[in-house]
Amino acid sequence: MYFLFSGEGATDLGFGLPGTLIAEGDQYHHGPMTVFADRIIESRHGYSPLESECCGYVSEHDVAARGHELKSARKMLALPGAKVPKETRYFFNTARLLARFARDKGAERYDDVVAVLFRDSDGTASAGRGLWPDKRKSMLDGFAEEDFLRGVPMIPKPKSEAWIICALKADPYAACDPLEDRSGNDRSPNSLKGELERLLGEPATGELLLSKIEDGSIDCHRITMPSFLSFRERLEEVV
Amino acid sequence: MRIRQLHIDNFKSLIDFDLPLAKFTCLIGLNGVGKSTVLQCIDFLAQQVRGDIKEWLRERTWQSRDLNSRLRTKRNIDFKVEIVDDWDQAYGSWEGSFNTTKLYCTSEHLSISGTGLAVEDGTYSIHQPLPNSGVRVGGRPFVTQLPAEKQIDFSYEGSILSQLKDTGLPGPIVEFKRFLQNIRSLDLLSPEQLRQKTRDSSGSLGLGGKRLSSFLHELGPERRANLSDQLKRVYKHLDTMNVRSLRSGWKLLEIQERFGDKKLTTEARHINDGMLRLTAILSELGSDHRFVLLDEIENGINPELVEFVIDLLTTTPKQVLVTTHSPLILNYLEDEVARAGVMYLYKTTDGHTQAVPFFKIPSLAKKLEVMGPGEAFVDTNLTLLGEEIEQMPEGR
Repeated sequence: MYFLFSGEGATDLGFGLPGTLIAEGDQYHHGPMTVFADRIIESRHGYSPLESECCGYVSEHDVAARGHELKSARKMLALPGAKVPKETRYFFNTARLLARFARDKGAERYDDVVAVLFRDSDGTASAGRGLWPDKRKSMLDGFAEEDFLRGVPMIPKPKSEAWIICALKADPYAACDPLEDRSGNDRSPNSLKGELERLLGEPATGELLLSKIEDGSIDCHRITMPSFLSFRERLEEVV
Repeated sequence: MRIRQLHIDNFKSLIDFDLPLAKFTCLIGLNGVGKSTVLQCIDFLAQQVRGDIKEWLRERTWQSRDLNSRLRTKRNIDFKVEIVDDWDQAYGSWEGSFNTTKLYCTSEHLSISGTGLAVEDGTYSIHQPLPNSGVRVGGRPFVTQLPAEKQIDFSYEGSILSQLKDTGLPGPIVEFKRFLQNIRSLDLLSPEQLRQKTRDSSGSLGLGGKRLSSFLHELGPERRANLSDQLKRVYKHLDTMNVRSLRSGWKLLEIQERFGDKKLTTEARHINDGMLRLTAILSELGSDHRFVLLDEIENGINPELVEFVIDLLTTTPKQVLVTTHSPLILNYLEDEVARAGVMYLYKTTDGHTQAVPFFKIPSLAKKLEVMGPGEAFVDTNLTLLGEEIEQMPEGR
């Protein structure tokens, strides 16, 4: 089984070196969220996709570059309504595009491919507008639209800092759910980014988070937030 | 020549308002944010050069006090219009201050291609390069003598340009004057007005399009035939479109349609709304006017015609400004046209209209990568968009 990751950058699923559409091996600098996914699979199935190098990464930019494939039919205007909420189309279309990459990769390797698509719920593409369940459902609908059965939405609510804060909490039994109702705006007075930096005592760079996850000081199995559990359950379901 | 940038202060809700204008600009936004006001404002600026502000107000049933923002006590309307040439190079600017009590511009500064006009303290002066002086600055002839100031001993409304004869003005200023004089906003286009018989168009469709029949007549047979051919592309039964001259100079618009071997003549009062609106748009595009302004472009246009209309508006050599609420209209725009020309209008908490390029808002820039401009528009909760705009580095 092959794992195809696509995220927003170094602090989530990492990045690929320029030159290849799907970065693999040394070309792929995985991020902290990749290790979360890797640990979940390892604890359940006893193997690490990262160690076995059966994974790759396609950037947000390269996914979007295939956007023209969905934009050619101008008359095919998808309208929101009672069944399709606003602020979800980006998630639907991005999932469709990643599914196409995954399908191509599967055909190339004669292998099953799992696609993990990371987007913050409160990220740039919706800036806090729209509801998390609608965005997650839109991603699943987007994968289904392409008849792709192994798509996994990875959508922290409101953003990945909340998951890390939850993993770092002193009391492992303390509920982290309230973190999901916080603002994802980094400029807000009580921002998640600021809180994470205070907990770490230094800026929460992708490199630092990665090292702390890899050395076990941040443990994803301590995260009990609904948005994380949804990701974990879906990942376990498709693998 | 086209307008690149408009600044207006104190015209209705347009307070300290800036609007970049592309070759094709489309204003979008919620109801009541000031989209039509922008069209009215540009028409108002054009009227400065035509003069007769009282008639302009009368035609709209406005009082002069309606021109100002009701949120401020300031009476003057200040404006600046920046012009570029046909190669998008800076060509000049016109700025002034219109007094809503006196109904004329108490100060004006016009600078076009090395020539200029200034109005200040009851005097005016005209600048132009000295013939054969040979001195050039920045590629343009340099004025080496101060122009003489003349007392303004005549009365006028709007800009002094409305009164000065073309023969006394430098060529570039005359060109600018004609450019502005010919701008007419079709912000109140109404089928009832379009159906009227008329005598004389005075070079424009008139408010609401009420002079359509005479405007079409004055376009001449060649342009009318061209317009008719364009209509036939989308109205398959249309055979000809005529403007018939009646007694006393009245002009009547009628169409002939062919159904099998039968011909059917229909007068304007029975022509469908959509065809009348499309005829008005095509006639404006077929005129000598270089800047076309249309409010709510989608009205009366059925979805099958949208692609045709958008192609016309985005490929014409004229500058075009439209407003719309229609995602279908937006979806037919090429991404680059949408990025450059779709402007989102919104109101600040203190009631001032502001504009921001819609696809420069970060979330919309991302959406446009994976969906059409209309889909991105209709997928976005506009009532909450202000929060994101406020967080943009430039503020708007």
